[in-house]
Amino acid sequence: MTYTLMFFVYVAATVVFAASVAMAVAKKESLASALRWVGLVAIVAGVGLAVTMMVQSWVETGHPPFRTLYQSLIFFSVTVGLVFLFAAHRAALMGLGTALFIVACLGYGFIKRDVELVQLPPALQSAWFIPHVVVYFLGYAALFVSFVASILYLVFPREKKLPSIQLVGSETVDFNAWTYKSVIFGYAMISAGLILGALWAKFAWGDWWSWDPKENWALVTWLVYTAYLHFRLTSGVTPRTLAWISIIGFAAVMFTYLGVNYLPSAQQALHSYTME
Amino acid sequence: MQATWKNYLLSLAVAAVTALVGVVAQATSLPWLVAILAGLLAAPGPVRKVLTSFEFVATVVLVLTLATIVGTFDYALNVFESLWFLSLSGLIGLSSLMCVLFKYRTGKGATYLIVHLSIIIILVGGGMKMQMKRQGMVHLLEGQASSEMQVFRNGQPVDEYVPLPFSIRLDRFNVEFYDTALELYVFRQETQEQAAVLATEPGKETTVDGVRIKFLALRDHPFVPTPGHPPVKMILAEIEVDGQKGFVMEGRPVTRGNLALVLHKKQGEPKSYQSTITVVDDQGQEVVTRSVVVNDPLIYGGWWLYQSNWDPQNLSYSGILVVSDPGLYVALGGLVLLAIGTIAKIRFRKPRKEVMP
Repeated sequence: MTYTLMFFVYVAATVVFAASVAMAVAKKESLASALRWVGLVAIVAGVGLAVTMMVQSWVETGHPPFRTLYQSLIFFSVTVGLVFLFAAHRAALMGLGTALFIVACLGYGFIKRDVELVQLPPALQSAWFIPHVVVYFLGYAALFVSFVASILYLVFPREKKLPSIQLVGSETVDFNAWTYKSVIFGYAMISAGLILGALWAKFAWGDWWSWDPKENWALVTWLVYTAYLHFRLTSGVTPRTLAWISIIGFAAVMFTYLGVNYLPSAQQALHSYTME
Repeated sequence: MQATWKNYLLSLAVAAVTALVGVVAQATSLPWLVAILAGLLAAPGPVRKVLTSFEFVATVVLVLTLATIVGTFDYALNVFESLWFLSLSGLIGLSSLMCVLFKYRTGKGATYLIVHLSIIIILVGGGMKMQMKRQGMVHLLEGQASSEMQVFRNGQPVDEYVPLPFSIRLDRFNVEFYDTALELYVFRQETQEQAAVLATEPGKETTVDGVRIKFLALRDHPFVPTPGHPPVKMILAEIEVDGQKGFVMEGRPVTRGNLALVLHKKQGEPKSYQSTITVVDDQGQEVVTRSVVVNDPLIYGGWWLYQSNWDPQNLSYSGILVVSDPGLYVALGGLVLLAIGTIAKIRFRKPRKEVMP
């Protein structure tokens, strides 16, 4: 029930942010700003509800609430919400993107809903479990910010074209720099997550790297952002191309997270979420 | 602009040649490959300039990305064991090394040095693993000892046994299960699908297709199957469906519209596997006795001993995975450097453009 409530809170946040964007385009600055604040309150409420659900689940099952895909979607909504509140809350468009994305994630969660409590199998009973998941999901959330910033760059390549400060948070914002800053943070997190995963794998399975589908896609994601960081320093690559690479990078993130289960080789995976 | 394109084409050509060298080396021997990479390291200025260019790194990284995607889509291609993939990875290491040796200037900052060194170290660790890692399964029954491991190739056990420098005795093996508990299952009759499960805790409730189901209590009920038969103890669940009280007997479904309710004992999943093992060295001396569980291996003389296998048909059997990988500590050192280097790059300042005066 809390989940449904949370879903509708984010639907409301989407509507409010969309209204804020519309008001900003119509140059009704104070109304746009007020609506943006309402949206922020809704995101805070959504994060609060998700945390409540996670605490409840943790108490009930006695293990961290990262066991199933459904639980991980709830946690993802928390990190995406928090990173937005920290790094991008001034931009109504960023709020719209964030709320919409969380609505999509939570909507997917309705299909993948857990029908029963699942216990923690021996492989997941590890001290590495929590830091590995938390660090990765913080990274994914930051990379989501860079993804939205890249889209905004493609829409508003020059700041002169901006219709309103409310849309993007600042008159002088440079979306390319914004993308870069969030990629740097996300890249550090997915690098750290890789190490925590390698250590955990060594203790659980005997090998720090085993070319498992999930590992490989985590590597693909890391490589795409490595390419991004190097392309950025070449002279011939335009900011537009960079924005596209960052968009492709986030597609790789989402495939690593949700798509690996659908690969033909997924049966061999040591790593997939249980999706009973 | 033209110079840039030339750079990309050159980069692709170098990657292609390296991959080709890998294919050839696959048929011959590894040291030759190492010699080629060392030759590139000593290459003249213009080649060096290409190898340390950003275009080059980005190009080879993208080629590796595509190779990883293809290799993950179809493991039958054996991409990750092939020398062409290995040599492309080596090329990345080589480029990082050249950047550290020839391109690094003190002005560039420590993170540049740390991150590029870390890549080289991780790859060296990976190379050591490929060359030196030994892994196998020691099959044991309680009370028995063995100093032989069954070899694994590509993750599969093969019919080959190799002696170990020590022996392992299985003193005790124990599997623990999560509690078996009665649960109330809710099914949709039309689709036969499970819609919800209620733990049998007073006050638990769920709503399925608009029907509110609440669990109240478990009751023992003396049940007389045939007249004269002594009463059998039956377990009943007292429930409330849309405010109406009723009972569900264990194993007997109760239907309500499209919904069927079943009280059923759920078999607990394994909670832990635990082997108490004793390591005996080649002098016959008992070195250490300890219990190993999943996620907590015993480390002895460079070997990691894992709880890894069990047999539901024979609960005195335990499979202990043994792994020796000298590359581990190198690779982990590299990975830690990578984390340090990338985290040190994080800046929390607002990404705003400087306003020109």
